[in-house]
Formats: sequence, structure tokens, C-alpha cells
Amino acid sequence: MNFYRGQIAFKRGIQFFDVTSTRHTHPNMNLAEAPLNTTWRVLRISPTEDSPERAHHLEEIGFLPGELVCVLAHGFPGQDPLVVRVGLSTFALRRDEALSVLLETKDADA
Amino acid sequence: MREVKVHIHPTGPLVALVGNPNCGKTTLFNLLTGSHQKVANYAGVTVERKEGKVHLANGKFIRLLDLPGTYSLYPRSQDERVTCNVLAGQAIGEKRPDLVACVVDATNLRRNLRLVLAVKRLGIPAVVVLNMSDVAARRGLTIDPAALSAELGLPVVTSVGVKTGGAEALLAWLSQDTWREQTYSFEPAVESDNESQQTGADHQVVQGILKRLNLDQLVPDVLSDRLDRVLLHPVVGPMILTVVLFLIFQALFSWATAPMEIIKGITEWSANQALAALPDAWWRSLLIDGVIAGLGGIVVFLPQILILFFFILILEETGYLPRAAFLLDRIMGSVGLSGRSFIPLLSSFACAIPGIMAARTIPNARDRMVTILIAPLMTCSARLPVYTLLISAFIPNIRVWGGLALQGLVMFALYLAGIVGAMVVAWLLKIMTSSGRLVRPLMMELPTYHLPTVRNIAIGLWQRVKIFMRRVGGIILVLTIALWFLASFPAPPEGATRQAIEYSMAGWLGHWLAMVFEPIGFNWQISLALVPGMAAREVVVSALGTVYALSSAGEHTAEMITPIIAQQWSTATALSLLTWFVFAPQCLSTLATIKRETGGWRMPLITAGYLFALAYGASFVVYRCAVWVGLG
Repeated sequence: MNFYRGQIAFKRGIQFFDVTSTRHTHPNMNLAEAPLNTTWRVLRISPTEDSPERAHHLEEIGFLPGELVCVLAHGFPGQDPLVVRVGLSTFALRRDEALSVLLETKDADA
Repeated sequence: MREVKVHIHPTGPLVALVGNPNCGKTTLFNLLTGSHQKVANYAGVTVERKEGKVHLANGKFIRLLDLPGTYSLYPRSQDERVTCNVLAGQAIGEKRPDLVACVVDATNLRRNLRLVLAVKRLGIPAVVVLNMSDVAARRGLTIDPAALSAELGLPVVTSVGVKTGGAEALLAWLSQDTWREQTYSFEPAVESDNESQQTGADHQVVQGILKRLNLDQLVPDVLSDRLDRVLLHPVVGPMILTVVLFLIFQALFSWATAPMEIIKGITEWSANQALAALPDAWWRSLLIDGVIAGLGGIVVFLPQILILFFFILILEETGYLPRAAFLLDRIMGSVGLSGRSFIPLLSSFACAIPGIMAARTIPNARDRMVTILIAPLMTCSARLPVYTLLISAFIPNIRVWGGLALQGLVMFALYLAGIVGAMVVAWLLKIMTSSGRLVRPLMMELPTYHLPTVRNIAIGLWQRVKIFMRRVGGIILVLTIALWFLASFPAPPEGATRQAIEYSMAGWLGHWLAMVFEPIGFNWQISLALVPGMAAREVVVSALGTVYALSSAGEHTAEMITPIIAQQWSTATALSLLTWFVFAPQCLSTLATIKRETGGWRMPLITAGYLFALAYGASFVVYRCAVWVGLG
């Protein structure tokens, strides 16, 4: 798992390991890597440098701390884009967008 | 000197419908005002403000504004900006609304209520309309409007936009004269300049409200999830999409045959009746060769246009369209576009004009321009008559590969050629511009599936019939008559050896144009017919009808255009003309729309230029290749 994440980070050339969220069992889980049909809680959105607007946009459509999220489907090929349930809405997100949604386990207190 | 614009607003209080995309604002608007604005089951159908009048029980009326849906009051795209400008009182030619009706989707309060809080902060009187309350009840969500009203500090009414009488409560509330004087407890829980903090704080408030109302459990639509598991499957999903599109094109030909025969019969009968009943005068020729031959030749394609729209309406109503956009996102991405461009491009199959307007929903300015640029390459329904005419004249009506109609296959190929052409253009723009290589945002909502309602489909089709017949009775009729005059005058000199039309103005113009189009295999009749086709593409069919009816010595028969062209044109010419129609910039109203939407002459000129070059080049290649293999 760690190897896989490292691969992705290497490929994208960005740093998304995040020191503030180590208190939960899946410290650096993000929406792009969440397995299909598993429910998680949004920890926060990590803003990316190339498009700071994106974080706001994700928040507006419902990716807010504490919301339950679940990946319902992957596109083909390359598991991109993703179909994501957030709260009660369903959105198609690009993998790149999903990478900036950091997650924590469902039972973590919101 | 500064110019000061003074806007005089119409009387009557102004109420604006505001809400998240796809929460049913336009459905409610139609119900309240009795209008027939386009509704469909995906986000971003409404891209501009629409106004209507609502008559209240007390004899008064209010003006109702339907606005594009938005997730927040921080606009991202042009359509969202329209809404924000109206609410800020900055919209040109419109005052700030006296009341905002916040339409919320009762099945998704957690997202919808955030916008209500944002609207409340603006300080405009507001009422919350709990729409789709029937769907919420069916899912077991019981929302107490009084309790919600107390929590929000705003009046709350329920509504069912899709049901006759579903807006009674809202109407009754609006009829009270007191709403204008009503004051609201206005104490923003948190007010922050930081966009992110504000959204987060509002979310906390909404969470609190839902918890207290015992509505904080998540009740998704199980049926939609089940359907999505199949329709969005990485392998099965694209296969289903291909089959659906393929079936549509097969149906275009196989279902339309019978109604087309009937219309053809009526046209021929009326031409013969007119011939027998009327004296031999110049205006008899105008009526038979011009009006009946011309218009009959176009009306015959109405069944096919309706079949195409029937399928498009069903796809729109069910909520499948954004799913198709999801499935095609990777392909779109490979040419530098996002799935967001899919819906504007798909609308362009009906007509490029609404497609170009729908591009307003694309937040990225560069993507929007590229989408506008390639939208005319999508085969619009006005090209259908031309395709059908040429296909039925030159492609044998046989079945190949175990029962597939060859004519349907060719039609499919023509549509595909437009799509491939558009993708190539988008791809070229991607590799030629640096911004084209950036990753595009998607963030597209996939709505809950709905069964299409017979009423909506019927209204949609009836509107198509009206639009089509208005075109036929308006611009097409005018052009057809104008062409008849051009083709009949001046009359040939005494002792003329060639056909009369060759001495007319149209004949002269046609021969002159044919010099340009001769290299791609067009004769002077085709070249001439292309001119009125600039105003409306279908006119090419009626123009050919008129030109050939006048050329054929004395035989006044409508509907004989198909055998004539089959006999007189080579297959190479027909293929070249089909190719021309896939790419050519033939529609002036499309270019005018591009000018309006992009605010300048640059884009329409670029569009017209590149499409002309593309069409000429492609037709040249097709014609020469066809001649070379012996079809000339």
C-alpha cells in the first residue's frame, strides 16, 4: 500500500504526506486511493499550488470536513475519473481532484 | 462625456428563484408561469435568466426570474455569475429582486441549505421552497417545515414541481400581501471574508440544524446506485453507451420510413391537384416548383428529426447524459477537453446554437472557447435532410452484417466523421497551446435517475414540431421563393437552346460559383443551392428541388429530386457533397451566436475560416479518391 502511494506521489512530483493527520489509522489516505465502496470521512482538502481555486470548489460541492464519502466507480482506463458519493450527492471527479481530498476513517470523531 | 444609462424596470414585485443546480427551479418556474422552458435531469440546463409572470389569487401579479443553478455565491462559471449578479443587484437591465425564493432539493438538504444561509446573509427577504418533497417522503424523510423554518429563521413552504398544483403552497404564500413587510431575524452565526472558512462554518450550522431535526442520516437512492453499478461499470458501461447510440441511428432510418411515405404522398397529391386546378401562369410554377416542391422536400424529414429528439429527450430526462459524459471523459481528456464539454457538444446535435450557449457552464475559459469552436462540427438536425436525401439516392437500401441497414450505417459514419473531425481539431489545439496540456477540472454532478414523464417528452417534441414548422413557414419559405425568382428571371432570349434556368440570374450565379467548387466535384446546381443554405441548411434540399424542377423540361412533379440526382450526379459528387456537409460552416445564425457569446468578431471569423478550409480540403480528397477508384 505504502509502495503504491509512493509511486503516485513520485509520478505527480508533489508532496502530499501530511504531518497533521497522523492520529488516525490511515494517516495519509486520500480519495483517489480509497478502495471502491468503502466509506470514509473527509479530513480536509489540501490546496494544491497550481490551482488554489479547486479546493474552494470541492468544498462548495460538499467535500467538507466530517462528511462521509465513498468511491462508487472508477473510469477506465487508469481508474480516472471517479464517481464519488459525498453526503447524499454523487459527483464525477478527476483523479487529480480526488488526490487533494484527504480522508480519515469513518469512525474517527468528526 | 459619460453616458448614463437609465433603466426603467417594469412594475410588479420581482421574485428570483435561486438554488443548487438541478433542484427543480425551472420545473417550478414552468409550473408557476405556465411557460415551457427547457428542463432536463442534469446540472446546468438553465444558463441565462428567464422572466415570467405569475398571477396570484388576489388578482395581482409578480414577476418571476428563473436563474441558473449555483452551489455557492462565489461564481465559477458564466452561468453562475448571472445568478450572483442578479442577487447583488448588478445585472444589466434588472433591479435587485424584492424576494428570493430559495429552492432546495428536499432529498439533499445538507448541500442545499448552505446556499440558503448564504442568500440570507445578503439581507434580501427570502422564502425557502422545499421542492421534490414527494421524493423525499417516498424515501422516508419526514421534514417538518415549521421546525425547519424556526431553525433557519425564514418562512418555509413545500412544493412538488412536477405535479399540477404542486406549487399551491408557494402561490398562497406569495398571495399574502404581508411578505414584503416581513422582517427576518438576521443574525449571521459566523461571517467571514475567507471563502473556505465561510463554507465550513455554514456546513457546521447546517449539520446542527439537520441533527436537531433528526434528518442527519444519509438515505441515498438505492435504485440509482444499482443502475450506476451497471451503467458506470468500466467495461459494461461504455458498451451500453455504444449500443444506445448505435440503436438511435438505426431507428432514425427504420422508424421514419412509414411517416415519410405519407408526407411524400401528400406533397405529390397537392402538387398534382394544383397542377390540374390552376391555370398555366407564372405563379403556378412558383407555387408548384417553388413552394410545394421546396417545402414538401423539407417537411418530409420531420419524422426523422422527431425520432432524434425523442431519444435525446429520453437521455436528458432520465439523467443518463452526465453518466455518458463521465464515460467519455477520458477520450475527451486525451484531446484536451473535459467531460464538461460533452453536454454542450451533445446539445449541438440538435442545433449548434443552444450547444454554444450551453458552453457557458464550462468554468475554464480556454475549454469554453475550444468547445464553441468545435460545436459546429457536431451534426445538427438541419443536416439530417441533406444526409437522408443523398443517402437514399446513392446508398443501396440493403442489409449487411446480419441485418444492419447499410443506409443507417452510412448515417452513423457521417455523424462519426463530424465527431472525429472535432476531436482532431481539439487535439491540434491541445498540442499547439500550452494551456491545452493542463489538467481540466471535472467536478460534475451525477443526478438521481428519474423515469421520463410522457408529458415532458410530448411537450419537448411538440416544441420541436413548432420550431421546425416555423422555420419551414418562415425563413425556408422566403428563401425558396427568392430562389425561384432568381432562377426564373430574366427569361431566356428568343430561340434559346439551353434550359431556361441557365439564362437566369441564378444560373449565372451558379456557373460563377461552380468555378470555385468544380475541383471538389460540385456542378453549378449544387453550388447555387449552397447559397441559400447559408441561412438554413435544410434549404439546400428545397433549393435543389427548385433548381431541378425548373431545369426539367415541363414536368411539374414535386418529390422527384431523388431519382434526378441519382441519375445526374456521380457517386463521387454525392460523397464529396456529404463530406462538405459534415464540415462546412454553413449556418450564419451559428456564426452570429458565436459572435454574441464570445463578444467579438475574432472567434466567428476563425470558426468560419477553419471550417471552410477543412470542408474544402476533405471534400477535395474524398472526391479525387472516389474518382480514382472509378466512382466518378
